[in-house]
Amino acid sequence: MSVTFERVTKQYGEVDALVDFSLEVDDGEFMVLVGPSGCGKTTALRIVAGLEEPDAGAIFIDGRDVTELKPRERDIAMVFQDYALYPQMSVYDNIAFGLRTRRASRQEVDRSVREVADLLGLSELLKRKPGQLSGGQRQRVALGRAIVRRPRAFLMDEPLSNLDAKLRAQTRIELIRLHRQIQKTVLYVTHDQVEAMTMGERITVMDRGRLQQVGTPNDVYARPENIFVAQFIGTPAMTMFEGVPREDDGRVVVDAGQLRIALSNQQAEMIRGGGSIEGVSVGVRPEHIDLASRFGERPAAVTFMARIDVVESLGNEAHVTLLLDGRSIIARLDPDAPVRVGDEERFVVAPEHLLLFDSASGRRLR
Amino acid sequence: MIGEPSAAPVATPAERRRRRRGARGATELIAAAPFLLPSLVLFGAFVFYPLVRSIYLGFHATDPFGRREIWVGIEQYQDVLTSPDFVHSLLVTGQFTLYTVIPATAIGLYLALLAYQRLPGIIVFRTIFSSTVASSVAVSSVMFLLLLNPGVGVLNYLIDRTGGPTVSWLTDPTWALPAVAMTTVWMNLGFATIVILAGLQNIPEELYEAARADGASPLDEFLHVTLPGISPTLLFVSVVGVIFAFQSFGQIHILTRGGPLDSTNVIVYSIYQEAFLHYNIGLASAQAVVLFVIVLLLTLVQFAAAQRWVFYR
Repeated sequence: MSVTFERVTKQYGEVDALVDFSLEVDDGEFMVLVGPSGCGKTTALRIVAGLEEPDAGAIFIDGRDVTELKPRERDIAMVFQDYALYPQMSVYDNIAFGLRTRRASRQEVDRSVREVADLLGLSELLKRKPGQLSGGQRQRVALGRAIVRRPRAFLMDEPLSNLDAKLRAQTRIELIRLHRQIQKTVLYVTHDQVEAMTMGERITVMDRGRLQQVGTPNDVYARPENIFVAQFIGTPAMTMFEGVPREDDGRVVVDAGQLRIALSNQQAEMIRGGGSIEGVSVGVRPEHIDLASRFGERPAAVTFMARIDVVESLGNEAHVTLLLDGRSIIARLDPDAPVRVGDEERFVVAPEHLLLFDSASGRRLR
Repeated sequence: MIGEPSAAPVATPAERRRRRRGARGATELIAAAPFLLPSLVLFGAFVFYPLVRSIYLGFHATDPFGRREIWVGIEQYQDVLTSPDFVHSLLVTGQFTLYTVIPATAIGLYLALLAYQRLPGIIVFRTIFSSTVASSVAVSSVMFLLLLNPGVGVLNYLIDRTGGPTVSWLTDPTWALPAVAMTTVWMNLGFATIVILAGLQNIPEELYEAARADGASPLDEFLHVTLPGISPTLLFVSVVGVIFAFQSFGQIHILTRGGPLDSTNVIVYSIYQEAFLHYNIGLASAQAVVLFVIVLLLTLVQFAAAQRWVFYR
C-alpha cells in the first residue's frame, strides 16, 4: 500500500507541526521518519492514522484520498510508544480486540490470534495481563495487536524507545525480519538515528515541520542535502568549518579562522558555479579526520595542529576530542592510535572527504 | 584477632538482618513518635475513645442521665437485633442506600463524561456540576424543603403544569424516602462528579487512540477503555456513597424527622432518637456498634466483589 502526503500543513496554535509536507511512501517500503523532537514526525504519522486532521493538504492511500476518513476506515494499524495495551484484558483479548470490533467470527479470531502469537513467541503468555509482562513482551503484544488484523500498512511511533539498549537492538532485528516476512508498508517514527539508519529502506529527515531530505541511509549519510541533515545524521556529529572562499593562484581555498582549506578542482567549480557565494561551511565527518603521521604522502586538503582534550575508547574505535581555535571537534580514530591527552598532534583531512555547503542557505554545493 | 574463630555463635545472614532491622525499627519508632503524636492524640480523643466507649456502653444499661452504668452483657445487643423497629430502620436504610448510591454514581458518571469533553468554556460546566460539594447538608436540605413544598414548591408546580397529580413529598409515607433520597443524590452529585472526572483524566489518551485505530466504536471505547479505566474510581465512589448513606442524619432531621410513620427513620436517626429523645444511651450505643459492624461488613463485601470488576493499572 502506498502512502502519499500532498502538501500537508498542520499547526498547533502558533507552532508549525507540518509545513507544506509532501512525501511518497512506496508499497511495501520500510520508511523511517526521523528528526529531533518537535520536528513533526509524530504529527505526520497521526495524520496518516486519522488521529489528527491536517489544516491543509491531503493524504492518499493507494491513490485514494483518505483525508476525511475515520481511523477504522483506513485499514492501517498503529503501534504506540507506550504500547497502549488495554490493562484489564489478557494478552489474548488485547490481540483479539481489533478483530472483534470488526465482527470476526469466534473461530477466525482464535485462529488469527494463535497464529500471530506463534509468530511473535507469545503463545505461552496469552492468559497474562499486560501488567504481568516485561517491556519487551508488551512491545510484542502491541505488535501482535497490529499484525493480527492484516492491515495494509503499519504506523509505528517510537516503538522501541521504552526498551533497554540490548532489547532494543534485538527487537530492531526482529522488526526488520518481520517486515521482510509480511511485506507490508511500514511508516516508522524515531528520533534515534541508529534505528533510522539500520531499519529504514529509505529515511525521511525532518526539522521544524519541514522535510529536509528523503533517501536511502547511505544517501543521507554520504550526500546530505543541507547542513541540518549533515549534522543530524551521524554520531559523533559532523564538524563544520565556516569560512570565506577566495581564489588563490588558480585554485580555490577557504579561510576558516586559522585554517586554510584547499579545495579540489571539482570543488572549486562548485564554488565558482554557485554564483555569489559569500560564506562556505565545510563539513568533515569524524572518521575523516586523520593523524598526519598515519595519513601518508598524499596531499591533504587541510592540515592543522590541535591539542588532545579527551580520549574515549570504545574498544573498536576511539572518539578523540580535539581543541582547535577554542572549539572542540571530534575525530574517530583507531583504538590503538598513538594519542595522549594534553599532547599537540598534527591532523589532516583528505580533499575528497570535504562536504561544501552554502552558509547562507544551508544547501550543499554540488 | 584476624583469623581467630569468634567465641560467639555465628549468626546466619538472615538472623543478622532481623537483628539489625529490630534495632533500626526501635530507633525509627522513637524518631517517628513526635510526628505521630499529634494525630494519635486527636484520633484517640475523637475516634478511638468514643468507639471503645460505645462498645462498653452497649454492654451497660444507663439511667436517663447516662450516669448509672449497670452491666447487662449482650442483652441490649439482643434487644437491638430482635427489635422490629431496628429491623425496620435497617430496611429503610438499605432502601435509602439503593436510592442514593446508584443514582448518584450513575448521574455523576454521566455528568463527568459530559464535563470531560474538551470544549471551550467547559470549565464553567465542570464548576457547576461539582458545585454541590460546596453546599452544606443544612443549606441543601432547606433548599429542597422549599423545592418540595406541596403548595409553593417548584417540583409540584412543574408536575401540575404538565398535568400530573401533585404529591405531598415529605408527608406522604410513599414519597418521603424517595424525596429525601433525591435531596441526598443532589448533595452527593458534586463529589461523585469531581472524583469520577479525576478518574477519567487518568486514562491515557493513547488507549483511546489505540482503540480507535483498532476500529472501536464509541460504545466499544466506553466499555473497554473508559469503564475499566475508572473502575477503581467507581468502587471508591460507591464505597464512600454507601458509608455516607448509612451515616445520613442532617437532611432527615431537617426534612422529615424520621417520619411520616417512620418511613424515613434510618439507623442513625433512630440512634439519635434513642439517645437524645428517649435518653437510652446504652441501647443507642448498642445500635451504633451494630451499625459499625454492618458498614464494615458491607465495605468488605464491596471490596471482595470488586476483585472481579476493578482493574488497577
